[in-house]
Amino acid sequence: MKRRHFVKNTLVAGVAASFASSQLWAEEPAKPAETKAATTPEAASTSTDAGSTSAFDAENVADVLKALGAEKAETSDKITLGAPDVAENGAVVPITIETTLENVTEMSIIAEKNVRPLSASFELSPEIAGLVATRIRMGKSGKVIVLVTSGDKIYTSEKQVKVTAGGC
Amino acid sequence: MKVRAKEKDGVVSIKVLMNHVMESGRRKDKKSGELIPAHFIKTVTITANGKDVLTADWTGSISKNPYLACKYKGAKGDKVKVSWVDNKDKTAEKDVVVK
Repeated sequence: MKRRHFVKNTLVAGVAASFASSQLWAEEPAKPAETKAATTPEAASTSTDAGSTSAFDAENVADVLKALGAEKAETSDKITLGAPDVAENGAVVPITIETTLENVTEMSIIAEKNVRPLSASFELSPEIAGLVATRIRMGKSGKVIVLVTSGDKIYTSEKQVKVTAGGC
Repeated sequence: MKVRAKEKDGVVSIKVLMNHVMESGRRKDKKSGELIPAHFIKTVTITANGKDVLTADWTGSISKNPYLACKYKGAKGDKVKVSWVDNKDKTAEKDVVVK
């Protein structure tokens, strides 16, 4: 019960805070959004000291895709996106990306309705055997989109996830 | 941090559980009403025998006490190292041998 309250309050506070403080992230040191805007996806994903990058700072899915150069990503049935249909707890939504595509070098997870949609991106070595899994936070019900870079092409897959417990 | 690495049919599955608050920076302190500063793991690196297998770039929208799993083509006895760096430059690492 306590946990429920905690989660609920977290989400409510999170949503409220997001409106009150949209400049919060920009205030953090070493990541002014404007100067980062021009970084390429490659530079973005390898810059470990910058903390955040243009793709991570983007506030809607279209901007994220643009920043990652994935506007023309092809939908692929070779990607299996494992996510619950209904997530009871928006603070812990398990996401599994499985793919049979070869030469996968990068994977990204985007939660459509989050204030900062890009949740995570992974750089992979050729030894990766097509599976990466983690758990993300989701503020609201919405699509989860994954991008998988294979060779020089980006493929995508998406799934609608409904968030109950205080998520809306 | 807990790390499991197990080999089956030439594929090693790695499962990692990290202990971290993963504050997104958007949550407010219930009493003071002030925002709790962001504190989250920024980068996770997994190497096998010294070679990078996976590098994860994370944000505050990863669940607290994060879980990360992946599979790579490897063998029993591989030395797997998992390390992370958060946005306050704290680090942690753990070595395991693939079973």
